[in-house]
Amino acid sequence: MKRYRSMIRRIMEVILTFFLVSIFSFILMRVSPVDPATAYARRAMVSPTPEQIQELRVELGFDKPLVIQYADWVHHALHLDFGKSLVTGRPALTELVQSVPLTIKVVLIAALIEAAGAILAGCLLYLLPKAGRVIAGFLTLAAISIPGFYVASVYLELFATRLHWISVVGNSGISRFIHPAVCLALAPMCFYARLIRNELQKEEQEDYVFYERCRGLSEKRILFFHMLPHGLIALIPSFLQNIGLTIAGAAIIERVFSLPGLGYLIIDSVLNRDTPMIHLEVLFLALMLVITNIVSDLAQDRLLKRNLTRGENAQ
Amino acid sequence: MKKSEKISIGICVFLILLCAFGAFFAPNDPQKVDLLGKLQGPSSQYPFGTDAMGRCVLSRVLYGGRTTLVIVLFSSILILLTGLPIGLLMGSARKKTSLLGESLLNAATALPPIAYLIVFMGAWGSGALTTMVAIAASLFLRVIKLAKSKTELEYAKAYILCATAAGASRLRLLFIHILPNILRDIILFLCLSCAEMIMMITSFSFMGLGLGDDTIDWGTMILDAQKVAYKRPDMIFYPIAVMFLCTLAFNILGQEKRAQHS
Amino acid sequence: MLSIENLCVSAGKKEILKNLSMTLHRGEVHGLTGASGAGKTTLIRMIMGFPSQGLHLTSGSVCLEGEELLYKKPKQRRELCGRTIGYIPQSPMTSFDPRVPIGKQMEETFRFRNRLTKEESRALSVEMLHLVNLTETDRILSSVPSGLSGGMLQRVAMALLLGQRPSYVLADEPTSALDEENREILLELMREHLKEAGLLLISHDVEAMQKLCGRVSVLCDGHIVEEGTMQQLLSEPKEAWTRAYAASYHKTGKGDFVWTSFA
Repeated sequence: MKRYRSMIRRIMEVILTFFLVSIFSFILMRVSPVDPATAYARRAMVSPTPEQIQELRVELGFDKPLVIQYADWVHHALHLDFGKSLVTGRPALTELVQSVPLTIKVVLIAALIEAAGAILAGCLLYLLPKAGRVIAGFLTLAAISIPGFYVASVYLELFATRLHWISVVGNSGISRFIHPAVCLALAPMCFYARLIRNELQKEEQEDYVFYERCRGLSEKRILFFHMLPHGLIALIPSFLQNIGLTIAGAAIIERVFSLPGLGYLIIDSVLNRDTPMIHLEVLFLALMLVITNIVSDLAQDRLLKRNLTRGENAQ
Repeated sequence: MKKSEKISIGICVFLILLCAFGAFFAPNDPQKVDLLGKLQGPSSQYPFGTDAMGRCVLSRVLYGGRTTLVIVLFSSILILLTGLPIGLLMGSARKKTSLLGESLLNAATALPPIAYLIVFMGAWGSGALTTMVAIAASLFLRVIKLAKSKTELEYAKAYILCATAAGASRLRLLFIHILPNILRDIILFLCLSCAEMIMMITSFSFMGLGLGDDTIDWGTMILDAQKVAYKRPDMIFYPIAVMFLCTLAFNILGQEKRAQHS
Repeated sequence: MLSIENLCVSAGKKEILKNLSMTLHRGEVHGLTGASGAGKTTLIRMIMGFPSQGLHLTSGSVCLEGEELLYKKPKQRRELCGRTIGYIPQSPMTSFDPRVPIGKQMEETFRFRNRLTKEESRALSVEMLHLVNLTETDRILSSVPSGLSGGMLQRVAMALLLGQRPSYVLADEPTSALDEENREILLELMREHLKEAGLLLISHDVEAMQKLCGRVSVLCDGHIVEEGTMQQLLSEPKEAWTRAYAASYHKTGKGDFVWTSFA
C-alpha cells in the first residue's frame, strides 16, 4: 500500500512538472513586456509596421486567447508536433533531436571523469598530511569558484591555439567530446571530492575502522574496501541527480567550444526569442531532470534496501 | 580552530562588502568615455588601465560588483525574510500537506535556476529585471522547500514533543524553538546560492544575455576584454579575479564544516 | 612482558592519563577497572597505536619484550597489531563492517595477515568458529553482522583472535554488551584459550574479574591508584573509588554498574 502511494506521488510529480513547465513558459509569454510577434517581426524586418506585426501575429497564432494557444500546443505535442523553429523554419523536434545526442555524450563522459576524479581526489584530500590538506582544500574551493566559461576559454586557448593539440574546426570522433567534457567535469569533480573527503572523515570515527586496524589490516585496504563504499553510498543519489543538472549547465561550455548541442541551441533560441523552440527545449530539460531524479531516487531506495535485506535474509 | 575560522569568515565578509560598496571608492566615472585614451595600461589615474572605450577599468569593475552584489544580496535577504516563514508554516502543518501541494513544490524545485533563467529570458528577453525575477523565483521556491523539509525533521524530534506538552503554541514552537535550529542551514544554503547566482549572472551576460546595455557587469567586461586580448592581455584578469574572489568568499562562507554556532 | 611506564596522554590542555604505569606478563590475566571515562579506552588506543582525534602522547613509554613501541614507525607498529597484540571490542554489533558478510571479513584478516590463500583462510575460519562453539558455520559465514546476535559476534571476535594467536590481548569490556548466558560462555572461552597469552581485561564485572584475573588495577583520574587481587580490593579497599565500588558490590551482590567520576 505504501509503495503504491509513493509511486502515485512520483507519477503525479512527473506529470505536474511537465505541465508546470509548459504552462509557465506560456504564461510568461503573455505577461511579457515585448510579445514574441513583435520581437520576431523586429528581427525579420527593418522597421515593421503595426499591420505587419498583426499579420505575423495571426500567422503564428499568437492572437488567440492564451488558453486556446496552450490547448493547441498540448494537442500538437501529444502528436509529437512541436511547431517550427522561428529561426530556421525547420520542425522544432528535428532541431532538438539533432542536438541532443552531442550533449548527452559530453555529459556522460563528463560524469565518468567526475566520478573517477572525485574518488581519487577525495581520497587524496583525506590522506594528505595537514598542510597538504589545507592547500588541496583551498584549490578545490577555487576550482568551484572559477566560472566555467573562463576555464573553457583558457583550456581552448591553451590546447588549441598555443599547443595545437586540438584543431579548432572540424573535429570528429571522441576527441570532439573529451575536451568539453573535461572542462564540464572540473567543478563538479572538485565539489564531490570535498564531499567524499567529508564522508571519509566521518567514517573514520566508526568502531569498525578501529577494530579493523587492530586486526592489522592495512590502511589502504580499510580505505578502499570498507570506508569508501560506505562514504560513496551516501553520495550516489546526489551524484545522479547532478547529471541532470549538468545537462542544463552544459550550455556555456558548448558555446565556448562551438559544439552544436542542446545547450548551444537553447542559448540561440533565447537570444532569438524563438518561442516554439524554447517551449520544447524547456520541456525536454524537464524530462531529463525527471528521469535523472527518478533514477537517483531508485538508486537511493535500492542502496538502502540492500543494506537492510542482507541482514534480514541471513535470519 | 575557532579563531582561524573567525578570521576566514571575517575576510570573506569583508571581501563581499568591498565588492558591494566598492563603487563608492571608484577613482573615476565608470561610464566616462575617452576614445583618445583607450586601451592604456595601468597608471596612477587609471589603476587598472582603460578599456576599448577609454573607460576606467577599475571603476567599472567596482560598479560591476555593485550591480551583481546588489541583485544577489538583496534577493537573498528578501527571500530569507519571506520564504523562511512560509517554509516553517508549511513544514509544521498539522494536517498532512496535500499531495498536490507537495508535488507542486517538488516539481517546481526540480528545475535548476538556470532553467528558470532560460524560461524567463525566452519570454521577456534578457535584462536586469528578468534576471532578478528569474533568480528570485527559483531561490524563493528552493528556500521554502528547504525550510519546510528541515522543519518537518525538527518536528519529529523529542524537544518539540516536550515543548508541546508544556503548552507551547504553534507559533512559539516555530519561531522560538525550531527557527534557531534551522537558521544555520538556511544561511549556509543561501551563501552557496549566492555563489551560484554570481556565476550564472556573469556567465549569461558573457553569452550576451546580460543585464542590459547600460548596466556595467563583469560578464560583458570579460567578453569585451577577450576581444582586445591581443593588445591588452591583462584586461581580462581584473573582472575575473574580482568575480572569482567574490564567489570564493561565498563558497567559503557556505561550507558545512565549521564550528557550530551556539 | 608488556610494560607501561609513566604514560601521559592529553587532549589539548586537559590531561587524560597521568603517569600511568603497569606491567602485563604472558600467561597472566590482569584486570583493569575504574570509573567510566577515566581513560581505559584511551590506554588501549595508545597501546595499539590509534589514538582518538585530539589525543596525543606527552610522555612515557610502552615496552613490548624490551622494545619501545610508541616511537616506532607506524608500519612497524601495524605489524604488531593482531599478530602480537590482539583486541576484543567492547560493542561487537558496531565493530564489524555492516555491509560485508562475516565470512568475508574473517577471510580478509586471515588472508592478509596470516598470508594464506583463499581456501586456507576459509578453512581456518571454520576451524576457529568451531573452537568457539559456533557450529552453524555456513550460516554464520554468509551473514552480515546485523544477522547475528551480540553474543555470537563476540565469539566471532574471539575466533579472529585465536586465528592469529597474539601473545597479548587487550579486552575492552568484552562482556558489557552481553547477557548472562553469553557472558559466561565468553569468559569460559577466554579462560580456556587465552592461557598462554597476557590478557588485560578491562571490565566492571566483579565476578568476571574474580574468576579470571590474578591482579586487578584500579584506574582513577588518569592513573593507577590501587592494585591487588579482586578479593583484596573488595575486602580492604583503600581508595575512595574502590571503597564505593566495594560497598555497592556488597550491597547488591553485583559489581556491574556504570559509575561516573567520583569527584
